Amino acid sequence: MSLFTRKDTLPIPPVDAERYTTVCQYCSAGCGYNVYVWPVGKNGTARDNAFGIDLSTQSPMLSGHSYSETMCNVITRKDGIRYHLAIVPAKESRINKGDYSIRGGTNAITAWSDSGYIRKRLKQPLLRNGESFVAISWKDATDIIATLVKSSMDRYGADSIAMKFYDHGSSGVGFEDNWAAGKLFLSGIGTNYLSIHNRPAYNSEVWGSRERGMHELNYDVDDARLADTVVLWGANTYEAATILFTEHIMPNLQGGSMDEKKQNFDAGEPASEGCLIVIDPRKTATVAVAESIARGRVLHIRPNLGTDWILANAIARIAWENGWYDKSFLEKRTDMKTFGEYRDKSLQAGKSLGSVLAEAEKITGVSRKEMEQAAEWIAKPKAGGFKRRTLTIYEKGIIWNMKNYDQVAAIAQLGMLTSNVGRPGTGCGRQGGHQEGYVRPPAPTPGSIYAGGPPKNVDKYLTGGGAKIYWVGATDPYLSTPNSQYFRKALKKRSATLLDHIDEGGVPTDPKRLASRVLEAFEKSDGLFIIVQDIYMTQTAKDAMLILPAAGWGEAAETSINCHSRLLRIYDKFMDAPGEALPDWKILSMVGMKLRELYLADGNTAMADRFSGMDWKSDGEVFLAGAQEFGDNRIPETGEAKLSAECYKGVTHQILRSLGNTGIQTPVRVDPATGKLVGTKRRFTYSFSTKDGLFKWYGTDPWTGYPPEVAKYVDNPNYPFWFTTGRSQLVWQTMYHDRYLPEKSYALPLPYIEVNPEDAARLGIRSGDMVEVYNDEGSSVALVYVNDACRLGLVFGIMYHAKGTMNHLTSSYTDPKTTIPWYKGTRVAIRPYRGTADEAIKKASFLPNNDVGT
Amino acid sequence: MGCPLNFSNGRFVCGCHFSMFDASKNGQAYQGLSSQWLAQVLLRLDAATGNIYAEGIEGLVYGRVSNLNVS
Ligand code: SF4
Repeated sequence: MSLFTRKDTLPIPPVDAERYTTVCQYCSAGCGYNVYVWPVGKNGTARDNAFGIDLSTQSPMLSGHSYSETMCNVITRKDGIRYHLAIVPAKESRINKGDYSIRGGTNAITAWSDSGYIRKRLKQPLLRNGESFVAISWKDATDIIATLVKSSMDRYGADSIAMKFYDHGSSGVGFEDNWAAGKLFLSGIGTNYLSIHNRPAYNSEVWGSRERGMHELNYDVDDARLADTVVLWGANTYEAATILFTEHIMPNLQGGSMDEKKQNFDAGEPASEGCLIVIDPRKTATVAVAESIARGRVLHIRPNLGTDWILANAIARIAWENGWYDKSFLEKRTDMKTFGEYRDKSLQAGKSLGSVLAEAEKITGVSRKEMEQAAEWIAKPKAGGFKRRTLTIYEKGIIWNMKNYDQVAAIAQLGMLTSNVGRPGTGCGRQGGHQEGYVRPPAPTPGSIYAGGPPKNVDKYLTGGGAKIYWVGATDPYLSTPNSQYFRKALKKRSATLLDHIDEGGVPTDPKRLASRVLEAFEKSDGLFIIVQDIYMTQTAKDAMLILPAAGWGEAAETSINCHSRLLRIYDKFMDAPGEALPDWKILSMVGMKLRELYLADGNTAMADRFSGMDWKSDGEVFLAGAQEFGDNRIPETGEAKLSAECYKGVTHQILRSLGNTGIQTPVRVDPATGKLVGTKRRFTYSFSTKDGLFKWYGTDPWTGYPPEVAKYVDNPNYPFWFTTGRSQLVWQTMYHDRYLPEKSYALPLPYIEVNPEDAARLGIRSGDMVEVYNDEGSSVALVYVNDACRLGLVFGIMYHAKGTMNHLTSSYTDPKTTIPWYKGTRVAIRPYRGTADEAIKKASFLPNNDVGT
Repeated sequence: MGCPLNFSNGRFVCGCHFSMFDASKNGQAYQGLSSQWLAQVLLRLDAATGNIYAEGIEGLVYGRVSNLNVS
């Protein structure tokens, strides 16, 4: 028997169905999708339909048209009419070519639907009243927020407002919402206590590369098919950016891109099936799949946690020692005045190769042989003296590592030393998590400790009693911030203190009375007024005073770029948001305009002006307003490095609608010769984003051990396991949608850990058991999967899940240079629970997800 | 995407993109690309004859808009 209701027939869109183009709401790959909407009862036929294909026969494998049970839904629009919705992967998209992942393939069934899985969306603004919430009007919600924000700013200064909002694209947000958030919090309120998405501060995760002059999104998906070697460093691509792997890296490994290589390589240059280096402490499914299709051409390196920059520098030293670099290229494209620092500190030129590598072996646990093999595959020129083409893609294993700045800088510099930037088949940048969509006025902290930073740690500010108002947008810090058990406990207390002061026989809903009670509480206590703006009730929202319902993906027109080509496309509106939910930009605009009104009423025009320019009428208008941030983009191709990576000046929603799944690659230029808009396929072919256009070298720190927050556990027998976290192929982020989809909630019922078979035997646990994972920071409950992904002594946990988080265990350490946390490394103990397992567990598969052999 | 599956160690593995389905857990997709679980065939064992009858399908056969012919 099936566990849930299955379909045996799909609705067929008629020829006259409404059509939209969009991009998957999830990962950095940014797969293109086509959307069809038509009234229920008006189906097309197998031979006459909007897909334009004959559906009466079985679709051929691979080349066929994908349309499955999870790609359709029934929605109700504000007109009260029920419509079929089909969201299918676009064959014409050069990103996914009709392919899709287990996450994106469910886009349609995540749509809000009164007959589908997603019914529990937030529909009205909600105000806390004791233990529960009451629905209030948008006008009252706006009045309450604006009054409190203004009073708090006037009495306690702008820093009394703390914020935590996304900075990314996709997931129902994009350039539009980011611009609105920037206008309100950066230009308007002007607080220094800003934080991004899941992390404790307002920072780039890759200042280590950007401050070299190299933005992290510099390659194109084509480069993954053209490279001689692809390096995946702390990036589990098959499970986290799936289509980048299956449509671009896999064909390269399988020899499917040989013709493309021959076309793009120099005359006489050797071309062969690609090699892959995966640097990851775990034997992930990425490694397993690669080894099964390209045996002998996959090198899996498993460094000790936190040591990757030492490894990158050691590999660079081998390349340098062997002369596998182009001196004239370095002299022409990099600032050789800064090279000495890199040579001395990172390459450690003053020491012998043998002693550098021996020390690196000891720190990283990686053998000299593996380092030499990696250096060869990354840097050794090919027969005939042709430069190798290596594409290095790094992600959270590096970014959320100890010493974020140095980790990223070391890899960026290895790429640069070996000339692997700006040529077809090369690149050195991040894989990305979400897609991107950043456009904001200048941030208060422009860079790392070397460029005006580091940014302030908002988590520590809040847990230390700072701020009066904490506004959270589309993120759930109770699950996602590091050291989250401590964070949650502190915020819960501050929220309860506030409620205690204002709840005298009920919380007044009249904005004026409520505001005056809250202000009194601000005076007398450390009470915190939490505002949560989201599409669902979140863990954090349970402690909020005010909850604002936002529109989601497909409920407003948004724009974003993907990470592997900077491909800008429209994510069009194809349905209405539930109830009174509004796009984020609209909510922020209403508050901004109200603040302007209040300051004008005070006669304070200077403050009122800070909130001007937020009276946008449409999503297209916000998009255009954001473009003003990009400056002049009428420049030739050779000047592209002067532009912001996201520059879209000159592009409109209308242009993007006409470009559909083709899109245009940022930075977009106006070609001075033709006056036409042109995209940028690959970055930094001519110069870098520094004043003089030269790449700036940096000397990384030496190894000095672990920071005190983690060092306290090392050699402590009470915490015998190293612990790292990451994602699951099956679900997206906190499972905010996935928890309602039976395909996902049955397969992944609880937060889980993966344990090596020998460790499991020693602990007396098996797959399907429940354990407590704990350390001095906190504890988490987890379901056990025993497999060989982790080596002895290392345990992996899913970072978070709808039913719990492993961030209870992560320390409060952040890199002093960037304030980026080390999410992926701490130590823990494990204690098995006894008792009856939850029924839900019995339905889940416990087969090892990294064993693909047949 | 319609590729044939190989069966071993209790699971079906797709040779194209390595989706994996647990045969003893409702054909659930526990790894890989497939967002749809495998369709399940309803079987009936006739104890008297030992014959097994396939009497229905729950879920859609991939690559079709209907398990039955459509026009
Ligand atoms: S690979 Fe990423 S963008 Fe593509 S369908 Fe899957 S989740 Fe969506």
